[in-house]
Amino acid sequence: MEGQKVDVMLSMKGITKRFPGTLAVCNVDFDVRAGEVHALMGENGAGKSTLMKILAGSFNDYEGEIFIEGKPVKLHTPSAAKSAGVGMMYQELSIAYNRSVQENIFAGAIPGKGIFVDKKQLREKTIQSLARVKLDKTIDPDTEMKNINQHECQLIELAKVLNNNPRILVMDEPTSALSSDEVQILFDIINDIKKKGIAIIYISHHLQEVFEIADRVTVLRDGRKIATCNVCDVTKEELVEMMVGQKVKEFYKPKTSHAGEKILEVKNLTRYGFVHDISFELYKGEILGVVGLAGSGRTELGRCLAGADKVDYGEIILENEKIKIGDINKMLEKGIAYLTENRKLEGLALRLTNRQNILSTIIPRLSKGGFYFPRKGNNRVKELYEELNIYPNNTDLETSNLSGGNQQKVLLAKWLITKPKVLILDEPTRGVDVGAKKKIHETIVKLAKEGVAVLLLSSDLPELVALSDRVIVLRRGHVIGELNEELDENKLLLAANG
Amino acid sequence: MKNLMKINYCWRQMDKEVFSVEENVFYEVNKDARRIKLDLFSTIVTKFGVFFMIAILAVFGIIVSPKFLSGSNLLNVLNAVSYLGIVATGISFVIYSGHYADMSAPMTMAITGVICVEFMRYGLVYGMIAAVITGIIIGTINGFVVGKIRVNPVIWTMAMNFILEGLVRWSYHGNQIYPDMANEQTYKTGFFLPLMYKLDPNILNIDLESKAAAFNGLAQTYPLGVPLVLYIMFAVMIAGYVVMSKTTFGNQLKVVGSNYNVAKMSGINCTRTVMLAFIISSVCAAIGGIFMTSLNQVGAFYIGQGYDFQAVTALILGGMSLAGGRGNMLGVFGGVFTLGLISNILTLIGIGTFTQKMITGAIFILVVYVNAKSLRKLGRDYA
Amino acid sequence: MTMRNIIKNIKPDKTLVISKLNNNRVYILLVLIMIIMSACAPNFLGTGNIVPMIKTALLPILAGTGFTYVMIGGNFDLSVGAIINVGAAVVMGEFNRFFAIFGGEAAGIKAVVFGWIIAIIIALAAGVLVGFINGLLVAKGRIHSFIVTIGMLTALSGFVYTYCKGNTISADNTLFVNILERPFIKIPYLEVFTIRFLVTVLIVIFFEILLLKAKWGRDLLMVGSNEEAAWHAGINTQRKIIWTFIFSGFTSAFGGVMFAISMNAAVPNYGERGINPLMIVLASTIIGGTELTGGRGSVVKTAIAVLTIQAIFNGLIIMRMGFDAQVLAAGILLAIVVLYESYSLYKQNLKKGAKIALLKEVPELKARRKNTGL
Repeated sequence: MEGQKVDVMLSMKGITKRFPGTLAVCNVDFDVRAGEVHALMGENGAGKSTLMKILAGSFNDYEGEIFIEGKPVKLHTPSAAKSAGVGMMYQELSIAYNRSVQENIFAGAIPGKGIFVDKKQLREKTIQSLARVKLDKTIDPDTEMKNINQHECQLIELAKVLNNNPRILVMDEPTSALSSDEVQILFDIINDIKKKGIAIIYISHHLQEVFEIADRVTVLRDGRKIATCNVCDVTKEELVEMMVGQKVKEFYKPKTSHAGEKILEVKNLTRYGFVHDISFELYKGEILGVVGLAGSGRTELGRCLAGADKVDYGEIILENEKIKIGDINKMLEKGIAYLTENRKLEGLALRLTNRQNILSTIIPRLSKGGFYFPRKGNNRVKELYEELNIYPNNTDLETSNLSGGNQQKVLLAKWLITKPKVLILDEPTRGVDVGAKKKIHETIVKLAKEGVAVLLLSSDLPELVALSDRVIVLRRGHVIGELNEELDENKLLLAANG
Repeated sequence: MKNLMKINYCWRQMDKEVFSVEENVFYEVNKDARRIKLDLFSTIVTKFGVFFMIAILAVFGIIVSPKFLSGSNLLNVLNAVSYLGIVATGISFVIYSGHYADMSAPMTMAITGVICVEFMRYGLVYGMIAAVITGIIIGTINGFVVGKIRVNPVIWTMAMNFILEGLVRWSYHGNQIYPDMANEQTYKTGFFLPLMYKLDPNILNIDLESKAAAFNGLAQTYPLGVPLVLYIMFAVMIAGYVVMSKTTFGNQLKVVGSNYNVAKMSGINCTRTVMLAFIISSVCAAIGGIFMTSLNQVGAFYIGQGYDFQAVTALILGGMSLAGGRGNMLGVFGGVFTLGLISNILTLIGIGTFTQKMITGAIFILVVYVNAKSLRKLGRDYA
Repeated sequence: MTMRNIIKNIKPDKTLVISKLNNNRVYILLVLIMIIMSACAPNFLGTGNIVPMIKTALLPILAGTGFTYVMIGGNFDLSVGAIINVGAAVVMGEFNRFFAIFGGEAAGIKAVVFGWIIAIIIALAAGVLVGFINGLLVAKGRIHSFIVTIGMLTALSGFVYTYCKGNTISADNTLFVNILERPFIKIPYLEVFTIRFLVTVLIVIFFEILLLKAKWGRDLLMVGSNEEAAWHAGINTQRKIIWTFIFSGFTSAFGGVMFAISMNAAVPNYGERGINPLMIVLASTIIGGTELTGGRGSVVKTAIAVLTIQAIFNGLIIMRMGFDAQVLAAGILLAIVVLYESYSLYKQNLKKGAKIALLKEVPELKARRKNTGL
């Protein structure tokens, strides 16, 4: 690339965006060259997504200027952004599951004569689009989207975006649900796209991937740009430091195992199509990590143990007593609590107050004769507030008003209040800022010290390494092994990938 | 106008609770001055909405007529809405649970009224018990289908309404039944009458007159000058208040209404909770049906018609959110009372019943619109 | 490729067959009901029954057309019954008014023709206006369609009563009144071809083509299926939703207009003491396969479902089971369809997210367990 004229495809200058109560992006400059893959990194809440939404034309009230191919543009509507050449691929696929592949790809742009649809052209063009993502031989354009698996859905989404011949392509966490093979396929496609001179913005948390696919990287933090550098000029540690803002090493204190007697034994736990023949043991005071790529069955395992999903086969022995895997309430009474993966969908009712959320799991315990006496619970809520350092210190605030990190603390409090014997944590620090993450980790360690058995399901490798006493490895719904010597991220990643 | 669309859309994305990316929208970062002043007017409107409205209406009323503030007039208002109040209290539980509304209320009123009249020949109390049991059965079916099988509540309860109407009409071949009808013909139609006759043909000879009088008297009793129905309404509302806010069920219902999945994962038995909400709704409809049938002195399929739409109107006006988990009994009373006030004021002005309907509909839409806008200004979007 | 393999490849996938059957269940239902009814009710298939049956069905078919569009967009329009009444009342009332303005009986045919033309235009405009307001409140005001249409329904029923002053309105001049209902040929069965019939069928065909073959319609299906995806694709979702409500208002009003003219009577409370047209339209739309959450539906199937329900109704009347049994039957049919749909959804959700690769392992797993006696 040296010596070649560098074409700046996109230039964003002085971008600022406010929401009621927040300043999401503050005076950010960002540029991307033609034919480069430019990674955009930062913690959740750093402003990456808002910045990209601005680029996509989701807001009409941003401050600052945007230039595409040197020309100033006003990206006030999605159609303006689209016509300016911006193509967005979102993390959450915007797919209409009721409708067929071709209708999804050509939504809003169906080829036709006048007002009518030209079926033949539609089909041909769809096949052409699918070819760009190497799916033309495997998928029939008429198939309904609900019959297509996740990975292919994502590629179809990409095909949809590529259809509009974007000059700038934004990919938001495209690999979060992919296996390593599938990631490779995606990278091949990205390299093809690069050759066509398209500027690609790649948002990701995976350092590994960024180093593999990106040319330059920009780090955002708290709505501001920290730095932009060539990928070859920077190390992983430096990147993390830029994202997090403090030296990483201080983070994790050396851990000592507190494992006591066996408290939980799982035998051949099977739910057809999700997890097969899972067996492991859990000891009091131990933190057992579960590592596995997305789709390996982590969450499914947690849900089965919690009683949320029907188990087709298998036994659970809690404290030497075989228990029937009943519904969630029964498991909770027996002492098994499950902190859900997605706090917004299944974890917290955002419209309730923090106190109501925290007490929601123990309403029956605080009741007598059908009547509810929350007063006993309120004290405990206050205690948990102190322990977890939840900010702002007002239990009657609606949960939606809290930052991600504090919401997660409320979610944790909700389960801690049930005094569980076995606590299953599913992604306990996803989307959480650094300070909250630290606090949550401290709390988990303290719990283990007090004798609670913790099952830690996480995709955050440093977290697993720092907290776990042992780690079991899940791959494609099976337990394929256990690691308990010197844990490090590489080992975990290798084991998970297989 | 175009700008509004985009801002509205972004809000909707946020409300969907499926944030694709930006998680920390309402960030409160320590002392950092990142907050923006929120609209005071919007806050007032959303919290105290219904009483705001009542106050405005009261002012209107006073302007319109000196008779407005008189005790007898206000009592009239309450009387007029007492039946609605009973039924609305029940339906409020269904809305509170986040399941739209119970559109089977009208025919539940009809069928329970009819059954009450049938069983009344054994005694007034038996009639009422039979009616309530019918309500419980209907509520259980509704609750199971909506709670367990997760059929759309509006469609199902409307279908149930249809079915119940069909049952009543068919059993009576389209006729009505009067409480004091006691000839051979009477015992050839109806749900249980033929069975009663078969079990004991002497039933023809019981003293139906006094029993019928007692039944018809229900709606006509005025302890302390106030109709019995009104006492019942207040009793039902107070019971509803206690159940909704002080019981285990009520508090769990709030969680279920706020987010069904969260409630499920928190160990709450959602099916049972939803079922109970529907049972309460149908039982309230049964109570309303008993009294309404008594008022009309006839058991027929058209008793209670229109109560579903009216109840929803009253409840929404009273601040109950269609999204669930929000609202209280005071609001239910407020909403019902508001409807009564509107009708009363319009009558005092001299406007006819049907024009009143028109105006009520328009006011309703206006109120909902203003409320939705205020909620949006506050960053919430759950009309 | 042995014979066995070839047959295996040709044999259709079970789930595919079931879903194809389910998609076309209306047609199957119609045929089934026709067979049952013709067996149980004498002269069911005779022209004396079939023709009135189809004629009665025309009103809900027309109203159902627009209603299906609203439902495809993912909303409810509970005010269709009221809009039918508005259309009916306004066309009759305005005809009388303009007939008089143009000179009444003395002015002869000119007054009649102009009177009708203007009255019909006004009535249809009223339906469009109501639909527009509904659509605006739902799409731009972001108020739930359930609430908006309940309010509108209350307001409209009040309006109709006030407009009619509580009475039935009939036309002051009956010259063209029955023209809509006059059959082209007085041959049995073909008597069903009246102007009203033709107009209804044309409108149904138009809306079905719009849905199936026009870009506008396909984009609407996207909007109903995933509004956010459609919005990102650049489709003006708000405008589409508003149009669905306008269509609903238009078709309901039109239905009411033609109905009133053919009966020479606009009744202010049509459906209130009888079978509510809203119920029939709602039931038919769902039975016809339109999904409640939007994104899938067909106007023609709704129409077939209306015919099916009407067939049940007529059959029951012939069997002397009375008006009352009709209501019960309709309710039960709706309940069955709704239960079936939801139950299959329930079963589907239980399996949602299962990994295909893992599912393939299952028989092996089961066999292994049996062998080791676990």
